[in-house]
Amino acid sequence: MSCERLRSLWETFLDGELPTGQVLELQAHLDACADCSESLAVSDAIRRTARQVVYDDAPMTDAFRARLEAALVSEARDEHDELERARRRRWLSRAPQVSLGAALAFAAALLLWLRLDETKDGDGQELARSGNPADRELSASRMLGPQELLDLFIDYHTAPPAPEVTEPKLVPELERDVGVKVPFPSLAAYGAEWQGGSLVHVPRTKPAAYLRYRTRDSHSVTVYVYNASRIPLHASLKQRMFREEPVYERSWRGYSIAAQLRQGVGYAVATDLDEARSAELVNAITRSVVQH
Amino acid sequence: MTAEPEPSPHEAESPESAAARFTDEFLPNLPALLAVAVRLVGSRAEAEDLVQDTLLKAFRSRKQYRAGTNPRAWLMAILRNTFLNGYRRRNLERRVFDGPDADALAPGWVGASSLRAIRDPHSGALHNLLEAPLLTAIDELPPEFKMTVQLADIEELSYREIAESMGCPIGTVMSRLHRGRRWLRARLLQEAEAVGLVEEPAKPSPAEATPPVELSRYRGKKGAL
Repeated sequence: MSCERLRSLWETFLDGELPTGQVLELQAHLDACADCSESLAVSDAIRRTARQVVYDDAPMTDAFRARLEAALVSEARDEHDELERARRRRWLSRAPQVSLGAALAFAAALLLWLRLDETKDGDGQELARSGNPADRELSASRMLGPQELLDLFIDYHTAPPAPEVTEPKLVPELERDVGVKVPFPSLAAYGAEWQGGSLVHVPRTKPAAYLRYRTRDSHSVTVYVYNASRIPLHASLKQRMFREEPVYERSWRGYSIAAQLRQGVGYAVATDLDEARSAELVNAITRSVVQH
Repeated sequence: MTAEPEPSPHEAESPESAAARFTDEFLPNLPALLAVAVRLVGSRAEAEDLVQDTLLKAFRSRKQYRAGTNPRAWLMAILRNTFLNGYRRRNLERRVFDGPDADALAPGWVGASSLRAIRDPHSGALHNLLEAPLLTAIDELPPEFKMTVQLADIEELSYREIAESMGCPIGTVMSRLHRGRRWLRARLLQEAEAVGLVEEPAKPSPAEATPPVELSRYRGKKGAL
């Protein structure tokens, strides 16, 4: 093997990619040729030194490693949440048709119960005012202002989001996002038909469940279910007693909204009807929740 | 009518355990990624960002990693793409290869005695006066050459693994290695002469007087004229 030939092969040799036969030939030449041998030694020296200086110039630190591990965990959580959302969307979109019967049975039972209830104590007009402004300010101060919250809920009523759920059986699924149990209240007794449900965004906290109804005489009714400790809508409203229970209500921008609380869960009804009518609807809902 | 049973939720692994599994498998390559990234972008802070972007991308596409292949080569491919898509600093590349003395930097014939002078006979490494110049010389290589040389000489990947990391044929890898290493050698000999390690000046031979220039740079230059 000539020096020239060796110089065309030595890199491949140093890279460990030279076939064995050629390695032996090359080795034989190196043993006999000082120039080639030295030249190869320099290539090897450059490689060794490069490895050392490059690594010395990029030392690993615990801080950097910790930052990466944290970034990976956060990425993994995002990915997990995304998969979870996708899974839920798939499941919701499969919308089994089987629950119609169950929904009708439930509606019938509710209707019956509401009628019984009305015959028992139909004097819903007994009103007692006992507002407590101090309570209101205290609970509303953390998130949106009382008026902003009121505006938000009326806004959603006037511009309803596209329904994500149109199958009553699937309404309880909204619980995962809302963070509280979401019942499926029937307002059939009030001549209102359910049109669909979705989630509405509330700044700095979990969303509220949004259930939309329409009465036979073309009034829209929105029912909200939400975590009342995070969304203090009732603090934006005036409190009064209705069938011996506090109900919160208010007229705002030509609409009315009424809310009641049950074990930390808020139920609110927004309509273009009057306050008393909204209060009656919300009370029907909270009562049905206690029943079921 | 009967209700279909609800599909049971996935027995998916928790995010924490997914991250830990990825960390165990791929984070041993962190020092290598950082070493390559520092050379490519030139600053520690940017290199850390590049490595973080690389690892997050790798995590997101971890299902595409083929078990049994070299995880370092896979990560380097992602690092390279990430680098090309946002960390590239053109002004740095231009520095030397457009300089007036670029063509002078090629090795001529150098005798064994001169070569012997540039390395430490005991350690087998370069003379320590040449350590800093070597780092500078590596930095002066165009990115594609720099990364190829680094993957071969420092990370000891095979030609095939480098070709996969760099998305180019093996022939291109070998050609880049050859030209990149010749460049480093020439720069070191020049430096050795400057600091007095070598007495006889290295004379460039015309055949070796072309520094490595990336094709894309050449095209860009032509377009600019």
